[in-house]
Amino acid sequence: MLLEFTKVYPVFSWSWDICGDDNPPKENEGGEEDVCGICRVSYNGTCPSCKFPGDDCPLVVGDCNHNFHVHCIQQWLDTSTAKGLCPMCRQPFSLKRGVAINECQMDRLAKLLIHAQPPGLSDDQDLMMEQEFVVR
Amino acid sequence: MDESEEGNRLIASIHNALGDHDVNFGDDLDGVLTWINPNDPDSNHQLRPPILRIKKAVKTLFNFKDVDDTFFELLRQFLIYQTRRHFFANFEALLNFKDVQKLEKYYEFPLNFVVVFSASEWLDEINGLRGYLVFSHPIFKQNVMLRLKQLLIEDDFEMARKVYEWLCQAEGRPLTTLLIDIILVKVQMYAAAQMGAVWTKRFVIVETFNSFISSYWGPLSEMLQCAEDDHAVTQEIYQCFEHEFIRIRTQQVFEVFVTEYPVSKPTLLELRSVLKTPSRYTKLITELLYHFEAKMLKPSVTTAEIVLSYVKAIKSILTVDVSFRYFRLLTEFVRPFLSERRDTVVTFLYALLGLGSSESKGTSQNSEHTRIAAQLAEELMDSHKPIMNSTLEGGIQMLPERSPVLNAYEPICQQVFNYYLHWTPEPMDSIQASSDDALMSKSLFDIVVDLFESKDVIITAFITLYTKKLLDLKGYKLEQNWAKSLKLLKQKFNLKKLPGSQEISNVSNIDVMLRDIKHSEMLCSDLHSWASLNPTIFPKIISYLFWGTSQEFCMPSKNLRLPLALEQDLERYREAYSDIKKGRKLKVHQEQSIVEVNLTFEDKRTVKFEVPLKRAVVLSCFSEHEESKGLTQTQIIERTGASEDEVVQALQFWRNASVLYHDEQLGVYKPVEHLESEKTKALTDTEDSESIATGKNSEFHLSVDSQQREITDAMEKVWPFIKGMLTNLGTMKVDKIHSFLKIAVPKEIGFVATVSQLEVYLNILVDEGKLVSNANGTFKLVK
Repeated sequence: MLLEFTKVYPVFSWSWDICGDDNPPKENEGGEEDVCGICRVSYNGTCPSCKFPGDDCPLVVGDCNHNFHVHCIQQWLDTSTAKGLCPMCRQPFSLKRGVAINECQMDRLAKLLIHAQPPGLSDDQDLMMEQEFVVR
Repeated sequence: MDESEEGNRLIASIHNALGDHDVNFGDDLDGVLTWINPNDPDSNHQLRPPILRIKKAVKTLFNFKDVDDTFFELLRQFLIYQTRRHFFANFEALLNFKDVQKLEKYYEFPLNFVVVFSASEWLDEINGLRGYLVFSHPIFKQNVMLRLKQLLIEDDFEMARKVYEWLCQAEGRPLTTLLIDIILVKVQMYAAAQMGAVWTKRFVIVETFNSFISSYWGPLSEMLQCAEDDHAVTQEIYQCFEHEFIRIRTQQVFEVFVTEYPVSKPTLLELRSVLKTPSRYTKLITELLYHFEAKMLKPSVTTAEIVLSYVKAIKSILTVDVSFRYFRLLTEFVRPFLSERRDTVVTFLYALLGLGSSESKGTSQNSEHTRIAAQLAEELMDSHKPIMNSTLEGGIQMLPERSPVLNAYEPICQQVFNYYLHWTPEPMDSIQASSDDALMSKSLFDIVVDLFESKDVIITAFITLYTKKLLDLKGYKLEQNWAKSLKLLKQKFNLKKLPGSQEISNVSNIDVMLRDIKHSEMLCSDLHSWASLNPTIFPKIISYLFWGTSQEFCMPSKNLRLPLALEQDLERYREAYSDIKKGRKLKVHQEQSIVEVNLTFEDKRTVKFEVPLKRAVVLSCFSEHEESKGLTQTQIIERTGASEDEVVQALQFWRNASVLYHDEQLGVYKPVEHLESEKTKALTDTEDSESIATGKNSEFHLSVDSQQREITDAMEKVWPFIKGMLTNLGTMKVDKIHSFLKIAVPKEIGFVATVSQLEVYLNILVDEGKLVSNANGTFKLVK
């Protein structure tokens, strides 16, 4: 007997490739799935203001290894109390380099951030933070 | 005084009164007296004309000039005395009208020849006897009345009139009440015969009334001694027919409202026009509920049938009851029963949203089921449109039925004023119906939705259906009706009005799913242009968090080892995806994947199958040429890495499909390379054919088992809640646990079990030693 696959309809699910390797994520150890530190929604879900996950609501990986929905961290950094720090560990927040997730977000996020910054807050420190955020 | 003495005394007096003539004529007189005496049956007239001697004697008697009135008075006394004597001696033997007729004839007969009474004198006498008879012989009276009734029912009006007149004379008054009672019975019978199963005619009452009047009213009105055109009386009779109509239809309510529904619509409309009082409605609806429960709310009736009859009943009630007061009653009544059934919502959704019965899951459905489903779908087809257009249009036509000019004796303009301006009684119903816009715009859809405890139930079921549909979708094209149904549901549940609610986010999951499908399609057409990728693969890339509440996508699923080529193909797709969508990776879900395979056997036969990927993978072990020796179950498990259950099920499937067979001697499975020879072998090998037959059974059992397991699995999720509840509250009954769970369990986990299912599960827990059940039906934790 010869078996030939004439058509295959595989179902794939996508997820953000966070670790950059194939280590099983935490969820497989029985714990809860990783969630955005700000909105407490899964990385693979959406921030509260988005409807569609994925391209519309991407994830960013911080240098401190804390991950957030782009919209969530952006909103956080916009507030004056943020002072450019990661809301989880209080280290200056910046995007991790060499991670595929961040690659396509780099420019877009920087532009968005500068644009979204209210003019009243553009004192030296904020500017510095911002530059740091983008460059580091 | 002795009776005969009195007779003899009278005879003697008569002889005396005759005076001188008695000497010559005494013997003849005796002859006449004997002839007319009813108490002398052997020698009296015996209903025969008198012999010549008697005739002559009578003639002579009446010709005596000098005989005075005393003689005739005595003769009359004698006759009355003898008649009464005979009557009182015999009246108890009278049982029927015929007997009394005979007796009266017997008494009257000689009077035709011996004329001593005037007509009224004799009639008074006879009436006195009749009165006595009726008064003191109840059995006879009853028999006569029965006879009268029978005669009227049998349309023998001539005889009936005789009996009736006789009775009236006996009672000395017209017996209108009796007659009317009998007429009512006749009306009843006539109505039953004429209206019985006539559901398609619109004016049955009027027609029946008219035919009744034209065939019977003439003689009846005569007996009643009223004018044939006395409208007060005919109006009453019309009322009786109306009443009968309601009574008959109330008895048939289940047939009219449910079984014969679309056909019986005319009669429903007629019913509406005559059901004027709330008590009549109440009676009708009560009867309907009673029948509905007895006939439909039984375990043996399929959900589709119940839902169909429910929908028909609702439509019927809406036709009959324009005030919209009663349909909720049925909903409340049916709800508890239907909520016990797991498939209600699904059955409903398929029909309601026109998703097509053919797609309904479960291939075991027979033609009867499909027919019911199709009927249900048809009944619900336009259910989302307001009722106003669908049911009430017929109602407007009925207005001309009532003409403003009813009475010829009143000025017409006055009547027209009365007709339009004075309403008796105040027509509450009609006013309510036309002014209550909220209700009028309510569609059948909304009413039916009320059947379920909440919209959530429907939405959850809908999402489950949709998810399954999209997961099973081959390619990327969704049928029109599915898209339409989503739109309809969103619109019906007013999801835009309640932003942020749980339902919205659940329904918008469907939007995400649809978008995933659309993106997959775009991506697929992109990827197919890549030379390195296999174009026979159509990937569906999903955002797993949005595809159903089940954890299956998050859990690490145990994947089988795929055939190398397929594995590589899929791997290339994964890589390509990560190239396009930076920072994202793909995971394949074999459980949900479907493949089309082409099988080619040594006898050149080729067969096509569309199966779940895992089944195909199990079969692919046999694809290689060196495996002509066959494989054991264990070998297959080793090769594929599948669980035993999966392999057993897959092997069973392929055996039933005549692709594999089990070689009993070697204990291995082999492909059926030569179907014809294998068939003949199977025929001779009864054991094998038997095992194939039982194979089907075992698949059935498997599905039942899996259903049970599914329930238990779902219940395990609520175990922590039960535990917490019992820790805090000590002992609890099933009902209470059930209602607590309904409130306590979050939607994401979902608690849809019925009370009985919960009870089964609790008993399992008792068996497992986690709970103790008490005699009074409560459960508590084991300490």
